[in-house]
Amino acid sequence: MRTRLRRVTLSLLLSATACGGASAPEVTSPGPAAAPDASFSVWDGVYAAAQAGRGVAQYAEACSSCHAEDLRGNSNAPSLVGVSFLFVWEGRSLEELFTTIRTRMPTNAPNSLPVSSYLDIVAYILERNGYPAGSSEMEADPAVLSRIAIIAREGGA
Amino acid sequence: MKRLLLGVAVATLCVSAQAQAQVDGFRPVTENMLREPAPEDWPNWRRTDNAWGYSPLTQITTDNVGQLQLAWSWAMDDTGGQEAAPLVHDGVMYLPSPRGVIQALDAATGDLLWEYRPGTTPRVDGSPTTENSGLPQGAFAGVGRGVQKNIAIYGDMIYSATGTASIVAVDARTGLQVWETQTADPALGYFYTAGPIVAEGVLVTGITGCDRFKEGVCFITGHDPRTGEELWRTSTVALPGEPGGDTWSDLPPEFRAGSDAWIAGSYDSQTGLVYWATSQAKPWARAVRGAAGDALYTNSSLALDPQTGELVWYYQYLPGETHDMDEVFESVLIDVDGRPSLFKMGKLGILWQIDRATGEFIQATDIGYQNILDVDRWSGRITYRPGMIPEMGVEISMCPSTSGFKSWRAMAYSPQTEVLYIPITFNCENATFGPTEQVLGGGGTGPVRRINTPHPASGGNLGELLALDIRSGEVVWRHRTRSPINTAALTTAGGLVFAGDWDRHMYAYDAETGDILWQSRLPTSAQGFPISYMVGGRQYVAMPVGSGGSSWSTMLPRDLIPEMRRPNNGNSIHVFRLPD
Repeated sequence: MRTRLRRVTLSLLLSATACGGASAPEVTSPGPAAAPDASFSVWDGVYAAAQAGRGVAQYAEACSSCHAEDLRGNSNAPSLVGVSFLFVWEGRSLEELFTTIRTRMPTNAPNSLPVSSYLDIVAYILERNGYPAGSSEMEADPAVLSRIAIIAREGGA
Repeated sequence: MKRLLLGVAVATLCVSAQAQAQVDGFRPVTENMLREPAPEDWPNWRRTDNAWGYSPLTQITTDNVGQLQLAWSWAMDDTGGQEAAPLVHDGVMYLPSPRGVIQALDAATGDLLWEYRPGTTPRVDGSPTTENSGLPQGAFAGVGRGVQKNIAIYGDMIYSATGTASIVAVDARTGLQVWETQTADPALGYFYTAGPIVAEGVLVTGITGCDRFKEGVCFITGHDPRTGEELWRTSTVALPGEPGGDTWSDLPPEFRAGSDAWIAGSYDSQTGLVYWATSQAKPWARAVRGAAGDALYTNSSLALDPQTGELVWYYQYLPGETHDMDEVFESVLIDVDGRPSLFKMGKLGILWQIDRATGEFIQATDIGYQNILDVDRWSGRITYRPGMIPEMGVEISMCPSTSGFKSWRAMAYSPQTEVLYIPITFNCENATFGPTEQVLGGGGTGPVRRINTPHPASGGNLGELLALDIRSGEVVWRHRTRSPINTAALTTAGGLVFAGDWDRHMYAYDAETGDILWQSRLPTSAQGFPISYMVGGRQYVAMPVGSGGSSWSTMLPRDLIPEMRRPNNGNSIHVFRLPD
């Protein structure tokens, strides 16, 4: 019941946002997990299935040559799924993940894709990690994304 | 029907004739021409078998190098990371570009003679070639992908190794493909970034892409240059039941990852041995890969019989290495006071000297930048410093970072000064190593929570060209730059050393003093293997520039010198000579 309420609130929040993603601050290298001021988590349906669907092609085009088709990475590109992904990202916010990908990737041309493509790719990564889709599309609003925590298990921390 | 077939045949011929010019009067390259190159030529990736990166040409000297000026430049493919090691034979430059593209250029003018483009250029019989991709083009310029470092020339063919795990022979006169032999399944992650060398009439090539757990390990092969037939295959990993097979604890073969052979080796016609080195084990940290042993033959020099692939001896530099401290890089062969030696430097910045006839250790010089282990100068034994062996989830502060002080940017040797000139990048890292999945398809390097930090002794610099005396290991001179020294080094008999940095500088140094005698700015980062050659009585110095280049060229400058920017494209080569 509690989860469902949170989902409804999140949908409202997502649909009411303005797109302020372009002014998101630079982040430093992935460091020790800093607990975000999270109201929600990636278990709360924070992206739309259609968005993750668009992300398949975006990922294949922009990411897979290094991170591999199965997202498990290669010698110089970290895994984006499973325990290896969570080791780096657990407890951090979706805003940090989104901004890191947008400002650093692809390595040869950072910040070269439309913001919508970066969102699609993040949605696809979430989907491949088993996080559920919701009813609204994820948007590039730092105020929203920074309140969504990446956590291992629903209700976990 | 008959007429239709004829029409197709004529059309094919016309396309071929249009697209492909020729190298006129091509002289086949003999074994002897590779062993004793003409002074004008650069026929092996480091010019000579001993990987000195040294040209005997003397037209450009310390006195006149200040007059160098651009003779020509040429834009290369921007579809991948650029780390080219061009070859020159009889006034023609054979230039490897990203994603398997090879071009033959007039080395005096840069005019295109032919181009080999996988998937576009046909085979000699007119049939189509395989596109050397299988991966999306737009993102191919990522870290380590699309890279084609070196190629080889022998007989009347150019040999390359591809991003889809094939070895390819191309007609050196026309650029048409003669044969292609796949050595492994690229879907399992196998690929090449280094090309073959030729030793005793055999193409010797080492594969990479062994970070993920799979059925199969990395290997070095020998191929027949005429037919592409595989003559032998030597694993770079000791498997259960084999000598050294007990050095991976009890891990089954599919979990013995790493030992990639991603840098081309050297050859010594006196010992009759090919020297090929291997990378670290994967996952990087012992705690993550679940094996405490030495993990043979990772981080080793392998001495191979080029006829049979037999492992004659090996020397493992870092047994049970556990921080991604790769020792795979170039093997520089120098005789020191009658002792046939092999010099190597890996990411830790330790200069190793071993006997290349026997594999016996001679000495090690730690340049003093790393904080991970202690090495006994006269035994080579390493001891990890307290607290420096990574445990899962526990942060350590290590110098260097996994980027290393030394990388694929090869050092060069000058017999005039008896000094090695070594491209260095300063870096440290707060690193926390984490878990991977112990399943087929899992593994990899293992995740690292990483914060790049400046090196305490760097004075705020990332780059250094370091000149080390080969006998004493003492520093002869050092030139520090704000950005990484981002190319291999080149030495010439004119008393010069050439190198370039990430911030678009190209430098000519006095080999004795380190004084900068000439410099220029380039369109983007200097990157690749500079060479020198002569055509029509004129000496040239060629410097590749470009993007890709792995963490020295991407992550480190981004985090540690954020005020510096360079274009993320612009792969090209720039060729200099003295004025008329």
